[in-house]
Amino acid sequence: MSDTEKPRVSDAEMLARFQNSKKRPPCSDTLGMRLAEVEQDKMRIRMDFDVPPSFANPTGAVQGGFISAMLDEAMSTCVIIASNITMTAPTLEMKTSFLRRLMPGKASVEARILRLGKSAAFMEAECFDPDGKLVAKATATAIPMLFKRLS
Amino acid sequence: MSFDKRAFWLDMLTKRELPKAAAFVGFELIEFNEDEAWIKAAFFLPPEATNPGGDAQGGFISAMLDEVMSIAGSIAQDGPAMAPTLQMTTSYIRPVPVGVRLIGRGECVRRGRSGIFTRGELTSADGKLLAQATASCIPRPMDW
Repeated sequence: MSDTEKPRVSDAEMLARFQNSKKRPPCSDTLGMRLAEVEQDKMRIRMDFDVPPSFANPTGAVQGGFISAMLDEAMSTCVIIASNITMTAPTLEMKTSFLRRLMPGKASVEARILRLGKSAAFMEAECFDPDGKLVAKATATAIPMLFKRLS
Repeated sequence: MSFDKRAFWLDMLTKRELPKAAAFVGFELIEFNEDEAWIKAAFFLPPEATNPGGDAQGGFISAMLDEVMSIAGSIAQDGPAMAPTLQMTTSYIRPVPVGVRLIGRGECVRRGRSGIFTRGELTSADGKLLAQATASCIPRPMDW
């Protein structure tokens, strides 16, 4: 794996690097994303979100695709961190189960990598409402690719 | 008084203020068929949907497909109705650009009494397939 090419940093340093990044992609700001926890050994992260009311469906709850957007954001970032910021992983396919309604406002997502291979990555993520109730769960496959922009 | 399905959905999809999520992805009705339960719509993603690679982040692609598929699942029912999504799978076939016109099509594959199955496709303006999805949802009649 290419994570031997660069020295690993501590979880705290990795977290700080993302939290202080000036090069955040627009989608991260749109979703009100904040990286909250990094566990590199377990290939796991947690992200907090502040979902704007502009993502509401006619019932006032967050439209499912935007919940998928948060889950995708967390799973993709998980690969970037697990590869020590050497790789990105464009999502091939993603499946989301919507268990409960989520209202605009606070939400959090936990994502982990099930397997990070040379030609394929498998991830899963769970979205929780502010009371800690499971709102949605996703699994995804992606292709790891060398990532030049952030390194 | 009988329910005029075509008039109802035409009003919902063109005359009313769009739901916020639909407005965010630039939803604009092209055509729909209430008997065959399908809908075609144009989309336009704002720069806010851009991922680090410069294209649309996958979730926003799912959001566009969820929009047309949910409408197809709603139209498939007899009266005013919604179709909350239970599970959805999206395949990201090609990178999807932001800031250009995209075409989404959603259709109902089967309308059961307690479950509805839908599928959707997102293409570029020149007809290239960018993403596809399938979903299961539940019928939910609404009082309007």
